[in-house]
Amino acid sequence: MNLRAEGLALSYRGHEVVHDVSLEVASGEFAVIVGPNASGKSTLLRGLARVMRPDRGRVLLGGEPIAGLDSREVARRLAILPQMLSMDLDLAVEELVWRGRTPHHRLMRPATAEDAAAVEAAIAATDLDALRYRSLRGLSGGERQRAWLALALAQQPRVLLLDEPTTFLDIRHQVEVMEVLRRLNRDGLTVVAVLHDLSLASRYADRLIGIFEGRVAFDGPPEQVLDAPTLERVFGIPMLMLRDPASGHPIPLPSV
Amino acid sequence: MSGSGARRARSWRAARRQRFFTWSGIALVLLMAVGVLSLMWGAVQFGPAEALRGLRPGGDPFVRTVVWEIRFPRFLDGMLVGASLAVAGSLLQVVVRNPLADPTILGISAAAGLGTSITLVLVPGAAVAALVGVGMAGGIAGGLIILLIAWQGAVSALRLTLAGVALSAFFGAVIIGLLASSRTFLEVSLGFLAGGLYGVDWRHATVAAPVVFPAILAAAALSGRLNALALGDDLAAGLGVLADRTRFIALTVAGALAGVAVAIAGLVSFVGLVSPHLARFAVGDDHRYLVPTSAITGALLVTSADLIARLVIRPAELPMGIITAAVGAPFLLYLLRFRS
Repeated sequence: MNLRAEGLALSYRGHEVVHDVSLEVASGEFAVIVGPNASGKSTLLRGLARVMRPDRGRVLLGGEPIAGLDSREVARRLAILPQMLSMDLDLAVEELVWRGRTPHHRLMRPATAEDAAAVEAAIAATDLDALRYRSLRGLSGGERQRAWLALALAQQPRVLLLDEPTTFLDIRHQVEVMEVLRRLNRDGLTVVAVLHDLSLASRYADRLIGIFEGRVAFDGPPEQVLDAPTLERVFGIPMLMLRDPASGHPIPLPSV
Repeated sequence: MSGSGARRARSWRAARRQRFFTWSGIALVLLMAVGVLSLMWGAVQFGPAEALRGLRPGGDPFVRTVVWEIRFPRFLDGMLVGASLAVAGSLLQVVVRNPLADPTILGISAAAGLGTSITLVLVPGAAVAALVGVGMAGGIAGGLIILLIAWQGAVSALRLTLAGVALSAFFGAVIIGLLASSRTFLEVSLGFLAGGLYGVDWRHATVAAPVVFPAILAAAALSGRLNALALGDDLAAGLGVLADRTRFIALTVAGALAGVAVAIAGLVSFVGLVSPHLARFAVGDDHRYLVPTSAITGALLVTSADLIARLVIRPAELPMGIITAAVGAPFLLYLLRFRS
């Protein structure tokens, strides 16, 4: 399912931080949003997910204006994993994942076999079977991130938005989360992730969207858009471009 | 693999449902036991058979009067007050995302108490329905003040608790000023401030029940959304739950419940805090089970405390709130020390 922003303007605490952004993520694409801190990435993601209302412009999900859809209908098509996730929930992993079924539930209606199947699929996709009865409190950062990811997958979304899903994770757990996302993407899920790590972004993205001061600075496949002058302009430091000898992906590095 | 996983998932959920029925069953049996003891014990003592006979017309008119006109409605009022405070507490704890929230700590009870005490002083002998109405209005107003302070959930637990302390102190001062400057009996004032069921009867139960039951049902109907809200505002929104609207409804319901409880029993503290935690300990953090379990637990706590309050200095009685505070305060200290 594709996701499209048309002239989207969004404010955070009374200040407009995203200015008339238009972009389209095609169905089945793996798009990564990069940009410096406070450039409006998270706000853009929240606007795309209808978590916040735009000042101007609109978002289309599968061709339909998202503002006109019922919020539960949106939640059945699109899931968002915000950046700030509670560290202190005393819930079993499986219980958390079940809450992903919220948009599929009707008042006072018991859970269905379809609910159970969706929960099991989400737990299997994130490799959490061994941890399903453990409390979130007792999990490592990487395990906890996978549990939150499973919650979003239990929604059975067609589009998944993630805000810095690899922050606070070591390199192995970063790759682990990205590999899960890639697998899901290959099975047809449209993925839009905000990432800080440019080499990780370059490696996994079909499409890289650079946001700078609330506007799209660059947008295209990593090999085409990643070059030192563009990155220097966006991030404000001298950059050096290397190439992954195995895959040929560009690897940007700060050169200071 | 996924087949066995699904089976296991079902059995796990079945086990939790089982746990809920076991715990609420135990609590209901205890509640009935407290009910029978409440009919038997007090300034005069009856045997169990004699007390239960008093529930039916005929028989000894003295026993009938004491049991049917005084003790039984008082027990019902205690259940309504306890369930109201406990459900209000369980709503508040998730809505402000703070395990220390309860109607007393957030100043909602004090706001309700202000309304009730103004009415008590200005309109001596006001109808019970009027008192309950004013208490509800005060409680809802208190809830909406908290909503304004906690708007969008961005406020820290510390600031919210301090705001509650400020509200409680302010409204509490006005309440005491009003009661002190009027000719209200000291006994009535003391009972109101400490919280107690002295002198409540059928009028209170018949006015409160039609409010309390729908409000608890509304809280139960919110439970799916509360489960989502507990995960955070953005995640709730991502799950199709409108955080601000849910918070508004939950605070209104909690304010109404706390207001009814205050109008009947005055400023009973700690029941709204302790009951949801006991319930959570029993059935976990799923609001579909937590709301009803809290209600039963709160009812059990208040009726037990009232029974004790009637017995310790018999034939006189203590305000019931003293007993709930004596149990609740150490529990709060325990929470602060070991759980948060």
